Amino acid sequence: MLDELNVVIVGIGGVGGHLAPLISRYCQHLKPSIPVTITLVDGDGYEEHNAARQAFQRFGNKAEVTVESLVDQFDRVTFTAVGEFLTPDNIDFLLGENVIVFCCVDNNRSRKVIDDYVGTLQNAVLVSGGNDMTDGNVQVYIRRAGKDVTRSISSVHDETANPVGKAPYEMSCEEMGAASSAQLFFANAIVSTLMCLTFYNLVEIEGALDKPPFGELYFDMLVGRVEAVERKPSIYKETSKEEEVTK
Amino acid sequence: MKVYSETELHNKTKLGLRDVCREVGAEFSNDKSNPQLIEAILAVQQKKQQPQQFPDGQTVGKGKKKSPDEPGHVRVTSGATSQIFQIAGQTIKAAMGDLRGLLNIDPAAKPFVNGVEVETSYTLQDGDQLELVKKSGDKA
Repeated sequence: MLDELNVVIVGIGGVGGHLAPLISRYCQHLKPSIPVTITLVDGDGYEEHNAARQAFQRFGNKAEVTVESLVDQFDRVTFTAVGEFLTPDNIDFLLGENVIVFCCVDNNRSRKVIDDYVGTLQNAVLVSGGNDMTDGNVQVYIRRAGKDVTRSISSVHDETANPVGKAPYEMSCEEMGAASSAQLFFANAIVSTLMCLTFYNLVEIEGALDKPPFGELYFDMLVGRVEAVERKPSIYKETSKEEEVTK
Repeated sequence: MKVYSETELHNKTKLGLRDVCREVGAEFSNDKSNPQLIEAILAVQQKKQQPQQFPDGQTVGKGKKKSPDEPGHVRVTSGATSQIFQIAGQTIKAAMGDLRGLLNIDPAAKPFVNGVEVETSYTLQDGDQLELVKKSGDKA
């Protein structure tokens, strides 16, 4: 178990809004000697149309409204609300060393910003989740002592490495409204649950941060499966692909 | 048993399709058009694969659990689907063509073998683990 937990949840939508109380409840019951801070980051606001997939007590900024409800329930945890979108300009303020970042955003441009930044940290964990209508995945990028323990998300997924479209901080209100698309609450809930599973493994299982049991989880509701895939880091960069494959 | 890809079947004459029907156990009729025969063959192939799947993703042949370590066998993962096929010796490109319908493979999927990114011209070896990286979900 880590000596302290500094958790940042970026994006408080269908996934992040479901994840935040789950992680908070878990942290509430950790040993009192382990300080826990959880920061919620989102520049978007709750609106009526969000009610189909998200629980909120009032309209207003998602990070602020969600923190209001968490503070009442989980007094053991120190919460911070950041009511703005994560951008290349504020990321160094939001993510420091030893952070555990849950990336719950709905666009690859923001994912890439976070993935790239985590790659500059000495020690950090990035757990990124996303879904389509009935399937999705959770990716894990771990840095320890300045080295990759798993592969960065961009090094595996071309859609993150070369994102198409704008991030929310680059969009007008009209563009943001047009960008929202149909989703299933259950798919969001599976993503957030798999992110919790990943969190548990990494903070509770001895040695998991150095040798994680998986680097990516895929799920598909229609066939009822979750598949774990390893993402071994870039020792492969030091040898040619042909040499590695023939080993 | 060989798994025929859709492209492979489209390149066959009716006579060739008749032979494939016999091989895979699909019903052949002279009254059926080539696309109908192809559809029937693909359906039989898919049916043969699916019921044999264990919950852990491994498949059975004649009551015996397959292992990727057995000669000729390769585990193929695409998203949440993972199965073992006797495709060692094929290039990844050919395997992707054969298995595209069965595993819902994106033709642009990036291939990794045993965790290493490779070209689609790579020839699969016994016991290889081939992952065809599925695009991330982009909503949240």
